[in-house]
Amino acid sequence: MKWRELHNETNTTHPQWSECVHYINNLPESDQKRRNRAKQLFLYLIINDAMSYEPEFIEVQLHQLFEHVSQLASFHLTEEKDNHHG
Amino acid sequence: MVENISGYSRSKQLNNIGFPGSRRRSLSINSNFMDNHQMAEEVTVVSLLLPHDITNVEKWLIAQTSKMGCHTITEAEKKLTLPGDKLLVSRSNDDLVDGSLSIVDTVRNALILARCNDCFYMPGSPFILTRKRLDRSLQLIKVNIKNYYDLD
Repeated sequence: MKWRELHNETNTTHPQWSECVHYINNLPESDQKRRNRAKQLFLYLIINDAMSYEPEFIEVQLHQLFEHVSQLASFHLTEEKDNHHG
Repeated sequence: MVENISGYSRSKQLNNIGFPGSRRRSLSINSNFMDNHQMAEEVTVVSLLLPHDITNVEKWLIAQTSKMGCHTITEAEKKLTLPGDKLLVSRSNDDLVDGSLSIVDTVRNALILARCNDCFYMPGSPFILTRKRLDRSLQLIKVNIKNYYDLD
């Protein structure tokens, strides 16, 4: 990731990454997978210069999508099991 | 010579830009969500180093398949066992030494790589035989769906 810092500043971090780290740290510690998913997506967006929205908005959308796909995957697996037993 | 100060200038000199000067910082990051063994059921590395003098990749591959007794790419595909599942693709840091693969492995890797885009390996998709596709080193990851989605 690339960013600019003023000559009178040292040891700065990428401004958007700082916001992301702050957001990730506020996510429940018990949900490590959710934290990792958020971290991976934020890094991808920052590196590709595509971080157009607030971290919270992006992560909430991602989490909702994940929950939805998780339900579909669960349904699909149960159906597969039923077909197998039937 | 008068500098163009109103718009585009070819000068490499940084003129007064109206605010304190800044420097560029960069940080290299390597992060792979699938490094975790719980998430990846199986990881295989597939790589190929195409000889530099090849201009027609398809012709080269057909020449390789004929060395293993197959006349066409389809015939070679039937003879080899290619992965049957959709797999996730990630760039691998493993470099391949030229000439280290057998003919069978070379053809197999070429066929797998020809079916990999930047994100997935798709079984049954057409073989795209270009240097860009074949001259790569990739990790093929079989995602553990149950662990990934926390399913019972």
